[in-house]
Amino acid sequence: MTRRKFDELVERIEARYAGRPAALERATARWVSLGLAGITVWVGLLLLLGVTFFAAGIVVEPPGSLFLLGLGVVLIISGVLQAGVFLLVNLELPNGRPLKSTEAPALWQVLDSLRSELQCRPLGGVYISMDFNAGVREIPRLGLFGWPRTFLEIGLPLCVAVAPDELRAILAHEFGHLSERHARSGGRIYRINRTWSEVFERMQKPATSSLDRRARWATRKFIEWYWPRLHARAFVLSRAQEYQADRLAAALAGGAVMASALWRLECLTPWLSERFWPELYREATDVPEPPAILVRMRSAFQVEPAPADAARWTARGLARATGNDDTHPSLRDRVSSLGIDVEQMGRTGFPVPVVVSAADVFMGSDLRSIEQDLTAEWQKNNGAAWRDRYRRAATEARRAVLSDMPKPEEPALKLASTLWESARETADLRGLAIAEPLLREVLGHDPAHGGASVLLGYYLLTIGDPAGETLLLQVVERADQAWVGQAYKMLQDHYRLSGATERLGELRARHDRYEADLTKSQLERSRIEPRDAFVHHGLTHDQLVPLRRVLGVDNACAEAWLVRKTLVHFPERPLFVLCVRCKAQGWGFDKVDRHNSLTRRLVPLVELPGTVLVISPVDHYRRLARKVMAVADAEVFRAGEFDPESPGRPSPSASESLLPP
Amino acid sequence: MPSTINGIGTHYYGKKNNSTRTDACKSCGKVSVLESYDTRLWFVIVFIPVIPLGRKRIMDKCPRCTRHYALDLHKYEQARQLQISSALERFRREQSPEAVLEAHGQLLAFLENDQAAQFRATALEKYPAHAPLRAQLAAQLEHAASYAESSKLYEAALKQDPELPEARVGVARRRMVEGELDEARRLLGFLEVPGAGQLHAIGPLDVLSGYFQKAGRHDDALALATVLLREIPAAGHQHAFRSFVRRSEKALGRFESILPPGEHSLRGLFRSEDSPYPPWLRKLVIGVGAVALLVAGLLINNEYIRRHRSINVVNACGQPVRIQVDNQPPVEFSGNGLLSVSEGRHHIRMTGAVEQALDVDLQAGFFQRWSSKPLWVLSPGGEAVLQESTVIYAENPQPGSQRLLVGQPFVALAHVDYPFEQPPHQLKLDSKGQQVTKTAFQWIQGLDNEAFLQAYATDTAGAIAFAERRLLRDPNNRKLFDSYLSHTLPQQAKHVEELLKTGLNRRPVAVRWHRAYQAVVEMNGHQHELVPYYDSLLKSEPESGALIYLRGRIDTDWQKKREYYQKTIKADPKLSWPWMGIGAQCAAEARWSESLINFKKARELGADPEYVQDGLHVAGLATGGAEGLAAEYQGRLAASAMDFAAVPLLTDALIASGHPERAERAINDWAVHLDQSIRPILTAMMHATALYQSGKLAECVESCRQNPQLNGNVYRLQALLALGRSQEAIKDPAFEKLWVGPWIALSASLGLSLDGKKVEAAQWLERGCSNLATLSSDFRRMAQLLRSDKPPTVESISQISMDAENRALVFALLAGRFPEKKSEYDTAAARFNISRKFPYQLVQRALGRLKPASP
Repeated sequence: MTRRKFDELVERIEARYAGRPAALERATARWVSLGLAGITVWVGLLLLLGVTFFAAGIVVEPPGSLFLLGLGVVLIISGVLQAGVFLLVNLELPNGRPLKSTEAPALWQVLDSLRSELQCRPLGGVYISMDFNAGVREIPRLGLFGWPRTFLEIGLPLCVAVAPDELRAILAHEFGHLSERHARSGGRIYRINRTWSEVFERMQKPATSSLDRRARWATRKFIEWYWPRLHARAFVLSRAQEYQADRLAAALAGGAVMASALWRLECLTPWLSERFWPELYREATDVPEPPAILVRMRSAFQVEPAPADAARWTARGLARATGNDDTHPSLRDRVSSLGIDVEQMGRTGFPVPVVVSAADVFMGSDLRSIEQDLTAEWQKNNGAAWRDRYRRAATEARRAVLSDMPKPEEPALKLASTLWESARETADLRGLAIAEPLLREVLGHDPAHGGASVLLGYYLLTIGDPAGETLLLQVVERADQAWVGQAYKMLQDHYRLSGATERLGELRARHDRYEADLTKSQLERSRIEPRDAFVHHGLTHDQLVPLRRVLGVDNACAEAWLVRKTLVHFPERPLFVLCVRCKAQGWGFDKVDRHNSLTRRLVPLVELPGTVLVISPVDHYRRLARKVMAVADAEVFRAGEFDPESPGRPSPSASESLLPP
Repeated sequence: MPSTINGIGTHYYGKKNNSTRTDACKSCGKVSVLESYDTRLWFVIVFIPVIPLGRKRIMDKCPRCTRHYALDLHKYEQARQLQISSALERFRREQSPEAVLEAHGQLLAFLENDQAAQFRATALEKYPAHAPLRAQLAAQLEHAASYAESSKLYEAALKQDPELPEARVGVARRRMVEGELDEARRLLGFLEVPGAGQLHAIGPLDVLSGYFQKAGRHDDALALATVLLREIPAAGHQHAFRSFVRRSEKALGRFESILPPGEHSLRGLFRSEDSPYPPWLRKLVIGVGAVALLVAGLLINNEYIRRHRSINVVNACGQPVRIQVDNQPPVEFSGNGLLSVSEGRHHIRMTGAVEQALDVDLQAGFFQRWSSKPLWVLSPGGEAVLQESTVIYAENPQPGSQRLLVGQPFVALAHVDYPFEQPPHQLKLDSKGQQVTKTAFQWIQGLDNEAFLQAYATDTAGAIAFAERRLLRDPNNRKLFDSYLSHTLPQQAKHVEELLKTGLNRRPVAVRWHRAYQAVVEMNGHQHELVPYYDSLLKSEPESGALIYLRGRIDTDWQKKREYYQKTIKADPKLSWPWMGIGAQCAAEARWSESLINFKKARELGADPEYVQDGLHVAGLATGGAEGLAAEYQGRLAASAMDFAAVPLLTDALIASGHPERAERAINDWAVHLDQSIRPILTAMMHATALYQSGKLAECVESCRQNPQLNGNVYRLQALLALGRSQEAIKDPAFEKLWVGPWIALSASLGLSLDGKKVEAAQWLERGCSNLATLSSDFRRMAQLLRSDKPPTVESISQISMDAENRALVFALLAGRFPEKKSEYDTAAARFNISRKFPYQLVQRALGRLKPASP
């Protein structure tokens, strides 16, 4: 399903179930059941066939009974094994450090109070993680048969960044999910996702038979039809559940507090991704060991961002539109649904750092040990990556000093390539801001360089420079296969964050068209047949010189024709067909072998500005060759008429022969 | 994959553009030299290529398992060119390391190793100091199993950037293979730092730990295992990892393990990878489950078979029979069908056409339920003719055996291969010398008489019981009726009388049945009851022609008998019996013309040909109609060569008409129509008969002697008697069974008498008379007359019903006993000695018309 159709589907579902969350949940549950039924039907079919053969084996007399029983047993065992693999999905526990019942009594008190107020089941555990987020998850003890345990995951960076009442509002939001049993439907969707992922994984293995291939084709078709439809419903349901949980949290913690918490999260999220983490990882170029992350984060939270950055992030937070890439609605929609004027909230500016954080209040004296544990864990998990960055930075520095630095006398293309290597490494290690001059230099040598355009475009967008959009749109325009996907993604993020919903829709539609064209193009370029249309090669005399030289050097080549296949998709990337004919020799019994030998010799030598297929007018390619030779002015070489030493001019003998008597 | 059966199928021929690489086969998993080449697929007959099916590119053919990928050569070639060209064009356009890797990867993927090497050299010239590019090219070469080339590149990359992880791993792998494990560990040191698993694949550490363990350096192996466990805690629950660690810990004698406590999960049993259980345990659990299921299925199957046995009901009664098994509702069967019952003892009750109760026991062994096909057959009243046969299949099979089962209401057989179906004519055997015996079981219908005759030899009582049941069911089964009577009389005359008595009241009157009854009653000596009985019947049914006839035939008064016959004709003009009776009376009085007319009338009215045939023959010969009779018999034989009775009549007629040479020819002409299996014996028998009939008695004797099957033939006996060799005849044990016949014994008496053996002749006369006395009242009277000291009148002899030739014999005997009336008796004998059937020649000798041979 294309993005456009998916967006339309989401809109239709939203319209149909507007104000009817229960109906939406039921509909989603039905789709989840359908997905489960897909697996169950397959497993059930195996079991049914197995039981049928088994039952037939019981009533049939030997020797047929033994065969039928054996077949039945094989099918039943196979069905049971597949049921076990597909249906017994193992859901993983949340990340983080388990919070002991003796730790953070204030936090437990808040959790107990919220649980009793919202009448939720007892928590199976609380995990403190390094995420800037909080969430609940239900994990059934008995897999498909249910009996769920509820886990709450709270990110310590979040606790450090927000005020106590804001964290209480956030936790109330999560308990709101629990209260309304949202986590259960989420768990169901997650499980179905895992189950089908298992199927996908198995489908990656080579097919064992034609029956297997057909089964995979049918499975793929089903998934292509089913998956977007389920996701569209799950998407709308998740959004509705977010609003519902927001309302419950607002009722408990107060709408203003809830809105304040959302505003802080909205503003701090880009601060973290665009400022804190890049600056932290930039240190890896100089310091070989990772720092105490939470200490650094705590102090960073206390520093207000530069006014320009703060203005950009607040503006982006207010402008961000609800998109179909994220299950959470935009801040504007969430705050508005609480009955709070979002514009007025925006006028308060970037949230002022909290004086006393929620972590200080709710975790008290245990905060230090929790912080130490998480820091140690983070350092352990990121130590290798940190040191790798440090090593790469050192290598890059050595390379810069030694040999690989670009030399101005090198060709522009080579220069751009070398510069690009350096720019990319710099961007990765030191951040885009430092890599900007290098990126601009790359584009100076090669204005169409996809990688440099994308990275620079992205950087410019993050600092609010509209030139970034232009650069990314140029990549989209050029359809540079290596980078166009990223360009589309960055532009979509930009349009969503800036609230340009119309342009977002247009871009998504364009992305759909591009992907469709790409698929057709791959098919179009994968085969060349006599029924295809061919036109003149369109190359200049100079572009043909290397080809003529290659052909002239090979004494066996008598004639050559070159044409270009007429392409519907991406015609700017030409696809040539070069037809070569051997010189006549002997009785011609080995004609096919000589022609095949000639084409095999020429294939690695022929260089044209595009993809090329070399054929000969014998054997399998006879009809294609006739068509190629029929194209006007397709002949590019005739032995004796081109001088290998000076292929641009006709050879003396050929010139003589062309002279009038 | 191409395949052939007996040289017919598909096959590859030709091999071009070979390339090889050493790698693990994707099918069998063994490392071997995989071969790729161009070839052509052919349809072959006897491995000779006949039809080309297209050119193929064979990819990675494994020399061990021969599995490979086969692609259309032209499609492959086009894809190869286009993809390589596209990648190289991208490289020329971008000049980036990514483009280098893509182009290099494509070249290696299409096994263009030489071109890849050239391209690699060119690319490395462009990027002389790019260590990551070298390492990634090395990785591509390693993937393509070019280990030597990849090693060089790894080494070069490591030299350029000693910290490059890819290069360190690549070189470390080489060091492991070379046994330099410490150097390898040093190179992989970056993987041992905490968190390395988050950034790098730490598989090389796993491999290195394996090398350490193999080298006996368990401390190092455990140290690396500890790192692996720290980075991938889930590995601690995988069986392969746990067993690896335990092996090293055991070798070091450590009691404390670095492993976490083992976990058990149901899901682990379903996963072949990363399972906490060893593969053998997983396979064992699955195998045990499968075997348990299979065994359960087999047990249920066995029990199902035990509970669902079938009794094949074969109802040959012609009327429905209701069969009730135990207390189940009765089921009605009109023909054959199945009754489903469990194994064990059952009480079966049959009602309807048959009233019968049986206790049957259906049993089969536990394993026999799978290995055998038992058959249980219920034949209500035992009336079905069942045939059990064995069929032998071999290259030169012996004839199988057959057994007819008659009169058995329930048959149980342990195994039958083809129940109620024809066994196949052919069976494919495993080897040339093999012999397979199969059993078949069938219901034979319409062959009651043959079944009775065959069963009589082995199961006399059963055969008689069967015949009686069938006759009660169908009294018009003439053949069976005659066979029954001939096999039961006179020994079981009383029993037969009882049977016949049960059918006397059947209407319409079965004349044949009554005639048999009358004969049996006479045989049993209470014929005086017959006249009152039939009078009483006639009283109740005075207009019944059949009863009038039957009453007449038992009247002792010759004239009254005639009157009854006349009354019968009036009462029922369509009844043939009285005409036959009158014809017989005429024949007894040698009034041949009248006899002939009456017999012909009887035949017109549908009299059984067998009853009138002799009368017509004798009367016809007596009235000079031999030529006509010969023509008639030739017509019968032309219509059916199997009409054996017509052959001796034909030869008799031909000889009587003065054409003995035609008799021989007629036999030969007839014989050609016979089946090979019976032709020799029948031809020999007919020749012997013809020789007797034509008076070539010595030749007849010699002909019979030469054929063991004819040695005990009655014609040989009669020929010997006629030749005056009565002593030889009576002493020959081959004739023993013939003496039961009274006329044969009387013939012997006449022969001995003619040979001058008066004492012995008297003994044989008495023997013949004794035998005669057991047959009927007429014959008893005849025996009395023969024993009498006073010569009986010719008229008294004439009023006793018998065949003409026997009558001639009686007159010949009387002529010998009473010389004073010899002339009168000889004249009478000559009047009746017409047909050349035995004892014609003996009587001729008695009449002096045949010169006896010298002893």
